[in-house]
Amino acid sequence: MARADPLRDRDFSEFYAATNRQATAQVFAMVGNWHEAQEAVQEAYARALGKWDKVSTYDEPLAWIRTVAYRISVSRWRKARRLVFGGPEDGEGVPAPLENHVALVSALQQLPAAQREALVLHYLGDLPIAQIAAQLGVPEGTVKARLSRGRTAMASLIREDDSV
Amino acid sequence: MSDADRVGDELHSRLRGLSRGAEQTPTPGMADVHRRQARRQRNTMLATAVAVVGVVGAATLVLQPLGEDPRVQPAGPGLTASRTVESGSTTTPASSTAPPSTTPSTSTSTGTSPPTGTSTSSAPPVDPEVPEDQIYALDLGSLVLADELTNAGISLQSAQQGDADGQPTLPPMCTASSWQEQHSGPSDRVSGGYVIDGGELVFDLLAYPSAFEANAALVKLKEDARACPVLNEFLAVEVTAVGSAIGDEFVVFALDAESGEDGSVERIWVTIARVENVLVAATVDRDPGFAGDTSGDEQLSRTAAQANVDHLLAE
Repeated sequence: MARADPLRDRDFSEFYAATNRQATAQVFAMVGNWHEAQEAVQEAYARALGKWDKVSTYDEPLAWIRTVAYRISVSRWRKARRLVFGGPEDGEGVPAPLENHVALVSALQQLPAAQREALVLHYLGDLPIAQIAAQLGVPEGTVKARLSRGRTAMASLIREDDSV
Repeated sequence: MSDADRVGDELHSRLRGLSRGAEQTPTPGMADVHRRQARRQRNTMLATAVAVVGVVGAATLVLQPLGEDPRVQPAGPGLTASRTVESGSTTTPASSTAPPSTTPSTSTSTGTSPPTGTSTSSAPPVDPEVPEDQIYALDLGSLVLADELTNAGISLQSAQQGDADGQPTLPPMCTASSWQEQHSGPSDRVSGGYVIDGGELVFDLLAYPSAFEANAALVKLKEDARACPVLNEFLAVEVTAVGSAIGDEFVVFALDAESGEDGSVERIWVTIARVENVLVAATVDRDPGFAGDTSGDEQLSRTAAQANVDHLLAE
């Protein structure tokens, strides 16, 4: 069995401390359910810990976390089961510091997933278009189109609900 | 400033507010991450051990071609699967050596009652010429391997860990109160899955004491899906195909999961095939928003089920 490596563990702990809330916020904005987002992000970090020697060499380990967490959380299979077996609904149980943002996140959920993802990565993750294109594996023009359509849709939704 | 810029600035500002709010929220912490990682390590070690045992077992069979495969044993009193799961139902006990029904019935199937069906599309009964059921015991080695799926033409992105804490894809329908009751109280279960483009491919294997009971469980799933297609506001189920081309018999289910947010509906395909006393369920769950064309998902589900059936038969 591999021996514990204090330096490796400290490195991962620092990465977790520095990024986990940001990752959870981004996944929350994309999936619209805080508990699902937190569960998926924690699971993604657990997977990263198991292969930290590799993940830590990536240019953007946070992007890896976000991508894995998102894939976990968008699983409709899990969502469908949650709908049947019970669990917190979207917007329920959101921590107090985020209560003011429920309407914004709800508005985001009304967008097609691809547009929502582009908006969140660009405006919440502060990623440039080229980097989003690289992460999603699509041309930059596609990202620009998704951002444009997403902004137009959000403008309409924001106008509909001033509380957003 | 253009409208697009103004909306962009507003979005940026509000999402930054969300980010600042997230900085003040409590987090499960590193202890939770370590717990999850330890659980994953245990599952991986178990899977590795099973694979080693499988290789040694295969070598033994090569050296002793007349030896008995310990994974395929005749049914008999007291014979049980390798692991058990808690059953949420009380099913009518059925003799593990009881011959399967060969007479189509018009009665409604409940619990572990004999298989039903009056049409030629109904699941065929087990071959009456076989006096005893072949019993498969489940372990992680019962799950299809990545190479086998790739050889079957399925493109995988990565392997997931086993999901023994989860439930099979089909939820309780009609009057069932738990997945165990809906699946007629299997004696054993093993599951795992793979990441595929835009979603996941999940395998759930359920074992029963006999082929007869596995057949009855599959018939109950089929009949309940037909009797109670609307599961709740967001979820509906449909039986789209029944036949005998995969394993001894198979049923294809389609679950329509509505997002509840934008009205979009995602179709989840579940092919459940029976091999003797085992039900092999292959679920394809992909988000069209990420997977693009999902029109081939039903066939993908069937192919995946066939691959796991082949894997079981080759054991």
